[in-house]
Amino acid sequence: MENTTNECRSILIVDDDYGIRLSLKEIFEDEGYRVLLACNGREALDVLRKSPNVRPCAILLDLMMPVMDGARFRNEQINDPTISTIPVIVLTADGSAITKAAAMSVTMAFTKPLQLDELLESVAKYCPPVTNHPL
Amino acid sequence: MSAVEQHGVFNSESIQTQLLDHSEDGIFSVDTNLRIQFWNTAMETVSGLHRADIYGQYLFDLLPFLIDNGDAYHMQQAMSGTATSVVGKPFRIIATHRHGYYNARYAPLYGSADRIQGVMVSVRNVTEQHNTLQAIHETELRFKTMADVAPVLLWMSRTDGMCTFFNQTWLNFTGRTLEQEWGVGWAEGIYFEDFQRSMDTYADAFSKRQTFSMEYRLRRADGEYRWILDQGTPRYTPDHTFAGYIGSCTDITELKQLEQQLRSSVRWRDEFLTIASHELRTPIAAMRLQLDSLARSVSKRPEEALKSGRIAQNVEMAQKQSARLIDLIANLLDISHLSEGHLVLNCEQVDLVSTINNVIQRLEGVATQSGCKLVAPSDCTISGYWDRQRLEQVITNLIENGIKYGAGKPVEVHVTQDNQDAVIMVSDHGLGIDKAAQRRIFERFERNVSAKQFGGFGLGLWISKQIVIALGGNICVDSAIGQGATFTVRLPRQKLASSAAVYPVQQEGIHAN
Repeated sequence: MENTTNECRSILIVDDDYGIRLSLKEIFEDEGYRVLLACNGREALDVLRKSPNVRPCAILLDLMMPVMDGARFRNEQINDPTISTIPVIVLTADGSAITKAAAMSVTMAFTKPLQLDELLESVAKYCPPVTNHPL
Repeated sequence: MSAVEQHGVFNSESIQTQLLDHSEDGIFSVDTNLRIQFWNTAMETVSGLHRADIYGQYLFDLLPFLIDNGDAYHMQQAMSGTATSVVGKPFRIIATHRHGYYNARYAPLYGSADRIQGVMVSVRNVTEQHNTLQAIHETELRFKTMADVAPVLLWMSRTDGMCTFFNQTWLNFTGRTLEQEWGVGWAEGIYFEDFQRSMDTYADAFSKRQTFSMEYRLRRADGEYRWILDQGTPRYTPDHTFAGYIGSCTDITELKQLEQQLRSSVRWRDEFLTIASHELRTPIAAMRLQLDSLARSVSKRPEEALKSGRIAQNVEMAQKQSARLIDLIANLLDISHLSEGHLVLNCEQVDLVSTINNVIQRLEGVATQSGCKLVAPSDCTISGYWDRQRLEQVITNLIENGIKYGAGKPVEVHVTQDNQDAVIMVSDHGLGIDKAAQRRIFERFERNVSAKQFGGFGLGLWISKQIVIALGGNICVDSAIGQGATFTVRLPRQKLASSAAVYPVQQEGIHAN
């Protein structure tokens, strides 16, 4: 039971900015999500591959990051069948977020500063609240 | 006399005179003593002298200009049996006020037994042709003078495309002679990369009789290749016959350089705006999230928020982000001031090691987040006359760089000094910088990692370099891929004699207090 809950309601936040990571973590934890953090694309892949039992229902992905940027992460993710289906939401301070996201086959993108309500709503679409187990 | 001459129609003297009088050309004859024997109507008209009045008179008395023109020589030639001509000689006749130019033909006049008994002269008034030719000549001369003093390089080609004229400006520019440039010789001066394209453009326009405009590099007399804008246009004679091309060339090298500078500064500005907006948005986004988060927790669970210290935590985070924003904006202002050459230095006696330790203390938090240890310089006393705040800025920049690119490995700061300079070395053990990048990283907007991956405006090293130079020092980097990087700053410890003289960014100089 516990595992199932985690799986449905955990998200992965990938952002090189400490302030953004921490703020988002706090907000999503308040909403009852379990939050995984990564500073860049490389770390994000490690998180996803090393704990296959914790499968986030969405990835919030920054674009401009050191070591491995958002676009390269997305590319690796798509080519890895074990994680390719996890939906990605792009968060970026870049003005042309939507265009860039589309180029990465990501349908949802938010420009920083973020509209928090809209972001929460969008994440919730991918991560439906856990209802009581039918059994 | 022959039978025909004796009995023919031409035997009549009056008919012969009529025929000669009918001629538009002046015709006269003299005997061996140069006395007038015959003078036709045309001569009468031109000279105003009637034949009845002048028969038997001495020719050169009547037309003294003939002597001035050297016609006496031709007369002598004819008298000795050789016909000769003069062309385009001037005449002036006082009596009739007539003046102009004439062509004349002097021929021996044979009498019986083929003995020369005088000279006959036919004279044609060529004043009109002469004036027309003169006008053409004058126009040509004027064109040549204009062409030669024009600041542009001029050329002309024939209908077969061969260039036959280059003005003095052209010849001075290439330092070659007209003979060398003639035909297609001029094309030898075109830079080899531009040669084919230019020849094709010329040939294509030429075959279509179209105007053309092309740019190529042409070797100047001093050997330097200069960018030339060459504009040619077909020329036609008054009856619309194609006569070749005429063209003018301008040296646009400076223009091109300016254009390039302009382009790169526009590109620089655009890139800067993109990066600046990204960098400014990030702390605002973080701050906004903190405030949103605060608002949510206060509205949902106010008591819990108070008790858990959540409010204080959110506010502190928001404050940090606003401090970051202020730093970024200060940086922006620095960039703008440095770009315009206004850097105000407030120099005082500064202790180097304690300054570095202050910076290290301040950056400890950031370093820990990146899992990176900062190694302070060993304790020693090095001091100099510097701007403390600017010096801190340089050290901060270098250490932050080390943290950013140091891949979690320690960043070390060393200091030494020699007679004149204090030396600061900041080393990381991270990605390293390849040789090509080492030259660029001190430029505006160069970041070692190709994409704009890392935070900041990418101008930290540029700003640092400007500050170091303003302080009279220099900065360099020593690195290899995978081996980390060491940045070395040398600063003169003595007060600078003339700060303005060493400040390189622009004309304004610095105002050291």
